Amino acid sequence: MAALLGLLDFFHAVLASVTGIGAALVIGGVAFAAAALGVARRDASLGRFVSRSARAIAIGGQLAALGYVAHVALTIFAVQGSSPDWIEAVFEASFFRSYSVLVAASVACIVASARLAREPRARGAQLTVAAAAAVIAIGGAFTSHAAGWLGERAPLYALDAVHRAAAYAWLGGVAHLVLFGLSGPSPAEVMAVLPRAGRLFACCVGVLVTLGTVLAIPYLGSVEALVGTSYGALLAGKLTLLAGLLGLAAVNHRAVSRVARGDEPPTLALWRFAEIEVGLGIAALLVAATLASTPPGVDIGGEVATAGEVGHVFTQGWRDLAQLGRSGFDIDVVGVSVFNHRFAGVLLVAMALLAIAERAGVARWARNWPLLMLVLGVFVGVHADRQAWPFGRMGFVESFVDPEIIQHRIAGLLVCAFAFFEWAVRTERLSPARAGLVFPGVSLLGGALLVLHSHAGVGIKYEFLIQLTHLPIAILGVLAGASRWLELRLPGREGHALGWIWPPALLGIGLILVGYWEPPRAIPDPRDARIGPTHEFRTTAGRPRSTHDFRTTAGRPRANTSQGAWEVVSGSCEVVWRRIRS
Amino acid sequence: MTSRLGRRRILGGAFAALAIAIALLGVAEHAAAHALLVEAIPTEAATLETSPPQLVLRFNSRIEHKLSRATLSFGEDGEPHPLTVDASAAPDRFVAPLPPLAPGSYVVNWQVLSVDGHRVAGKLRFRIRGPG
Repeated sequence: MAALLGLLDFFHAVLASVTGIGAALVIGGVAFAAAALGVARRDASLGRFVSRSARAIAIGGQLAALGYVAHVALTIFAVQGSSPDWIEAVFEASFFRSYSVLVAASVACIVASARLAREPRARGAQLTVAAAAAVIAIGGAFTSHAAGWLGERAPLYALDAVHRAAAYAWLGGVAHLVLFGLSGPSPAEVMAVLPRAGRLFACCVGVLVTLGTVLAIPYLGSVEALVGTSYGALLAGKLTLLAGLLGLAAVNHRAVSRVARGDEPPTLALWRFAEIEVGLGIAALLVAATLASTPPGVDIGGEVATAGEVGHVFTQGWRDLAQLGRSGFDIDVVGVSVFNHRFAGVLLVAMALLAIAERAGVARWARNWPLLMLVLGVFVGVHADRQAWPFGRMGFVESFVDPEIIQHRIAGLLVCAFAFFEWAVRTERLSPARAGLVFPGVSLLGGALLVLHSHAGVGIKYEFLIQLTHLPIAILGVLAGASRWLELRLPGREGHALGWIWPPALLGIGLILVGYWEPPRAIPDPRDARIGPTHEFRTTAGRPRSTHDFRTTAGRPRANTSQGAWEVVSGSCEVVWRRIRS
Repeated sequence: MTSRLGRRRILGGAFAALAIAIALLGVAEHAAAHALLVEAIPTEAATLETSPPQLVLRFNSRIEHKLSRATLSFGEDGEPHPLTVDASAAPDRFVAPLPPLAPGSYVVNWQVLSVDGHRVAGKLRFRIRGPG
């Protein structure tokens, strides 16, 4: 039950991402049709695009409905039996009512947009989809931080609804613009639609930035919270993605202006940059979903980290390495967690340097660099959980009841599979002809998922500091993905030049990991335990990660430290923990 | 040339796997939560002279009282007894009257649902000092 509830917590942010993407497709589709197509939509030749766009809106409605229903179902699972009249309480609960309205709007949107796909001129269906989009934007505000706000909620509801409507209209609108480009429009249609789309997006960005700034004031509470809390760091990550999006949008806006003036036809780069806008937009939506699960910075109080503490996280690792030398990679000295990160960092640095060497034509043998990724995959799958087989006492089969260990094993297998595939392709053992562009897209998503995974914490200082380094890694991952996408999609010198971004990005990730450092842990990490012959566990640092960290033989393990009492829930033998280093 | 281009396509997937793998590599446990416990009475690890009349948990956001719950156990391994939640408490407070408690160690396991639909759970320990 505890493990399932833990998974529920993680899936909460995942579902918020799914609904965000769905809502963006719906609201962006409506905004694009209303503001960008304008008069042109009456052109019969646009019928094919309108049908495609309607189908995309229907898919958006399905994603949103799926996310809303799953969220409600999982929440009911978590609160079942809370009180004798819990079923009645669910029906009365604010979240249930809000999500019910959202589900109804999504279903209406699915039905109406399906009709629009067949009959683009059906007026009733058009109005239904538009109304559903408005309800999804407004209803979403009632599931946000605004709903739990202890002060006056009405202004926050209004600001949140308009803010998310603008975000969805922009990001979803760009997705529909890409669809428009893919539908093979005539030059006249492009000339009619592009300038209008540019004005729509510029308007959305203006609203988004203005209201985002206004909303940040009550939720952050101070400038210090922007630097020293999970909420602030995520907001900074979102702003970084927004800056990237604005950069692309500015380039495209200039291109659209030239098209509008008749100076030049739309270039291929315009459409490719729009594709990347969609990718970065999805990443931004995932970050926004994580923000919704993170306590506002204003509530963190005395747990706000200082700028000095934040800077310390990024520099102390290098000071340690300078002082310790090779011992900085000694697992008995630095602990399992730091060792894992630094070892992965060394592998990534080596891969990046070899990739650069291959790309520069310096050494042909460097093309074998994916073999290092294979090592990384095995390392992730096996070494991340030292308490389990083959290092620990937990059996191989037994370890699969732990969700976190399962995640590690799956991640390890994925990395191994990609490593083998990449190596086989580079050494011309496999033909990459049908590889497609899915992988760079997934890379963008992977960077955003890193944020989703690591920052869904409760926001206290320790959690914040220990996971802080993952945010720049995620941003670099997204940057690398965008670079790869443009390199593949833009032929010629332009694409080749943009392709030079991803190897340094990979190098940056590696260097951050090599210099990884964690603040001293309050509770020992069982991965640091050394198993003695009499069931005595010695720890250097750390804390328990899950309820299956140890297999023991009698009693429930627990421990008292200077920081307070704690226990390992699972297992059946008394465990003695001894801290040999604070 | 085609194969070279195709080969590069693989990189994106590799990066995605790497990003996910790095995320999973030694990341501390997390519990997605919005509601944050900002005050508890009794406080965590408190030693009290007398039995407290009620349990009060204050959060940073509104909570659904009827969908929140807590149990009280005598000691770490004691049988959990459900507490009755005061549904009329302030929007950000979880209040539950406590029965007269004998000296000893107690553990409260609580779970609340914030109004925006986020679950958060926790544990609170306190001790009542015996006579003498």
